Amino acid sequence: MTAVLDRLRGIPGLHLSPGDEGPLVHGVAPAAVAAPETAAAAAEALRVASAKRWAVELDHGGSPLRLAGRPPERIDLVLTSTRLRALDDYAPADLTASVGAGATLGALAERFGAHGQWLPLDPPGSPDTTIGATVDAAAAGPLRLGFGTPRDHVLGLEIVTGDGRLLQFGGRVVKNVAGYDVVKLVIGSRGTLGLVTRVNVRLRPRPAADRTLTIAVASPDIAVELLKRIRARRVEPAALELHALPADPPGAARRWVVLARLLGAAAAVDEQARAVEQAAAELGASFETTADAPRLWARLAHDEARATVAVRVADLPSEIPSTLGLVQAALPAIEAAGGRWTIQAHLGNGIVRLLGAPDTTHPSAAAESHPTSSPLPSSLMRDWRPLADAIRSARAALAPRRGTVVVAAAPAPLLAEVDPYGPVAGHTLMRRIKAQFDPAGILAAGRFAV
Amino acid sequence: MPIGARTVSRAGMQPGPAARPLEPGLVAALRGVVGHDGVITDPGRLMVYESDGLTAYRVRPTAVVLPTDTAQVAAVLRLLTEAGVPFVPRGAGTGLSGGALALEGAVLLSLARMNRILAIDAANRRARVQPGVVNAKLSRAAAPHGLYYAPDPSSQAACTIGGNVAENAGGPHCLKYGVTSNHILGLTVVLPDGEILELGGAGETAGYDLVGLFVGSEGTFGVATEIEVRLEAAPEAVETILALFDRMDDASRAVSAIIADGLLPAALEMVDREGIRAVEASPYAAGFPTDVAAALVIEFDGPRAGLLEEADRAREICRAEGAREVRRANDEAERVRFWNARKKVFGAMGHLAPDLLVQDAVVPRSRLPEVLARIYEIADRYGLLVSNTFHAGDGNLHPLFLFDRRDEDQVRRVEAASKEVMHACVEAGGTITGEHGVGFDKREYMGLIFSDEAMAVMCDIRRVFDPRGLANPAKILPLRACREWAGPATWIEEAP
Repeated sequence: MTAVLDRLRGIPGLHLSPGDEGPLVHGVAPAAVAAPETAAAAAEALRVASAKRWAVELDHGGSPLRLAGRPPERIDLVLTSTRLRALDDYAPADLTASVGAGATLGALAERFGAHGQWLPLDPPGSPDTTIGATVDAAAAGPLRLGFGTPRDHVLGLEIVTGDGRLLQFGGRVVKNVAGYDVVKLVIGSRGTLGLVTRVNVRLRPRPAADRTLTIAVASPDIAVELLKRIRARRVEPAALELHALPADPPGAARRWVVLARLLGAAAAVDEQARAVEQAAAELGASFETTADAPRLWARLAHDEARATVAVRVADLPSEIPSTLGLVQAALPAIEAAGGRWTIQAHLGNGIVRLLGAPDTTHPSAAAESHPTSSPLPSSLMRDWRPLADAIRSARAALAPRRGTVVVAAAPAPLLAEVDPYGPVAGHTLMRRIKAQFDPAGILAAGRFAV
Repeated sequence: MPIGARTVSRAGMQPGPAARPLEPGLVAALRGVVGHDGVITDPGRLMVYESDGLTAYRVRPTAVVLPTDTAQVAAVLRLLTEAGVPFVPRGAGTGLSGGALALEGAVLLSLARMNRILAIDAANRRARVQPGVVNAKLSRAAAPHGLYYAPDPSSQAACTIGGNVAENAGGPHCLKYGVTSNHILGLTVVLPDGEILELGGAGETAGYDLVGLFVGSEGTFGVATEIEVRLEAAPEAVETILALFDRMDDASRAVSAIIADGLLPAALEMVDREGIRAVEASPYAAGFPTDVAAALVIEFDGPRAGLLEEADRAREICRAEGAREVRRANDEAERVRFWNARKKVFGAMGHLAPDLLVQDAVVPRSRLPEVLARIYEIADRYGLLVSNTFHAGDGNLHPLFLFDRRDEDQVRRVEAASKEVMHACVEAGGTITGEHGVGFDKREYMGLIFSDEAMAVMCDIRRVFDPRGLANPAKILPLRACREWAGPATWIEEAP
């Protein structure tokens, strides 16, 4: 191992630091962390690692790996894009930019915002979340309703394969059908194919008006009816979220709110807001324009990323009441086993998220308020089986409609009880594709769906 | 895109040797699956399947098989794979890159009989269709629900959703709404060995985006037998503008200025002088002045509130960039006239010359003025007439060369000019195809934009889907790109 570390140390433009300074992946620390300054350095590092069959995790900063995927047995090396932060290749007139994978969404927003443009992606996380991490996880937030997910924004990318080949796919233009769409293959591949080092994105003009309405609804059924009526009025919100607020007082029924984000020309947003308010009034729901909406959206994204357990249940949007019904029916048993649980839904996309955090009123959880530095929050639940059972039965219920239940984040004890992904169509093909990119099988082996 | 006249690329080229007829036993077995009339072997009837929209290349398939559902496709592919016979899936045959040529003795798998819309789910804005459904027919069927299917290739009256998936087709309205791959939610695919896979669907799929990878694979991974698409809500209002320019450069700059101003038109299309003259000489003449250098058709759609203001800003920008005249469509009839100036160009051009070659390339839109100037310069140098009618907002060029294929010298000049145009677009930071696909025609251009290693990876991916190389052989990748294939044995050592 020392000899290999010496070889890595000799690679120009590769910063090597001790593993205890690296990210913990399910509490496992790597032997070393390597941060390349260039894609070429990343390629050389992966050639070395591949030849030695090191276990490698690919990282883009922040802590998205903390509880993602199945726990690794060991990690020899974390290769991180955090020093690949280039923002210089930006063509405002073309509404495109080519940026380093380690560039943060916050830095991008500032750079593009100066030209009245933006990248309309709001994945779980903070402004420190990187574009590399977003692409890696195909992560998207509420704005997916109006603008889609990373696959709809990424025009091209550069990737270093597991065996150190530096490859470019896609391009800088908004239409491109030359060859296979390897870009889409890489988006969401969770670092199992290679380290994304550069991402070319398509930008949009920043809308003049941006307003969020908060609508209190009596039940998820009313929320779906609201969606129907909003659309009948030809309003197309950029985001439409349904959140269950914690019961107050404890034991009372949960309260539901819909958050509708309207973007566009000022006159259009005014008119759309009126239409949404009318639809809400017809349903007897109270509504208000959300004060300080940017902070609210930022807080929701932040909270979602910090969840100790994140379970995503997805079905057709029209099935939201029944999807939520599955989650709610399981909730009492889950809550009785520990943790503090919130429910959020991308109402227009049919995706329900069940998010668990340590119950800070419980004495055993007090040490876990800083999850990145603390030991694993495996004590969130006294018993993980009720949650595992709920995941299994939701999978069975959704299977005929091809809905899915994915555990996006969880500590090891839950993953010992239930598979985080369930059956994956085309799994054999995926494994064969991975073998072409990572012939030595060193990248996140066995951790993710592929 | 419908082209009235014949097209040619490399005149006289006959790709591949003549194929041997299918074994009678195989024909009988195929008829056992799809019925007697589902297999065509009569040479006279096979003639119409010799080429796609790029008619320069002609290869008669050994047979045409017409399945009606997924199970039949799977059974047919099993039989063909067992016999080692390659196959080529084909939609309406409107493709412009020779993608549906039946090379290497391939059987054509026509999806024309798989033309049913299986479901329209208005509440979830989805539809499930068979691949042979015609693009425009889907939008018509969705219209009563206030929905439509956004990608609108110029050939939408004939081309099929299956063909659109194979090519990742575009169209004028992709500027705002994206191309085919942005609208495909799920696929039922049959792999070459007959295995049926359900990809995508209602939920969030774990693992790789195989739907995204399959779209645009030009029939080289297998056959999509059912397609689940996203439908869009019909916009509340539409504003359409026609701007006439005396200088091409001014029109190009107006395109960039409109985008740079923060406007996002639904479509932003350019027609040059030759295009306008051709339309004005056709039954679609709308009384547009034939002495202008270029016209822009600009369309905005969305909520009515604020839409007119957006359109007015675009009109101001056009005037500021030197437009001679800017018109607004006052009603649907006028809107159709504006669009005819754009959509009927290729058909009208057919009356000006015996043969046409339409190219397809993309450049960053800020480079349009210089690249357009370069294209006219190249055409001049070769003594050729070229017309540029294209998706300007996307930077998606379609230079159209007019010529007579009986004149061998002209054919050589068209080929040389066409190649220079392709190089110019790549040098400007662009790509070799924006919506027509690589097919057979553009394989040799792949090396302009991909490294040998990147192409080798594509070969590897193709072999994952099609280890025996039977699905649409000799397409997309130049032969030299594919290294020796070790076969499935290399998969044995996979991590569990």
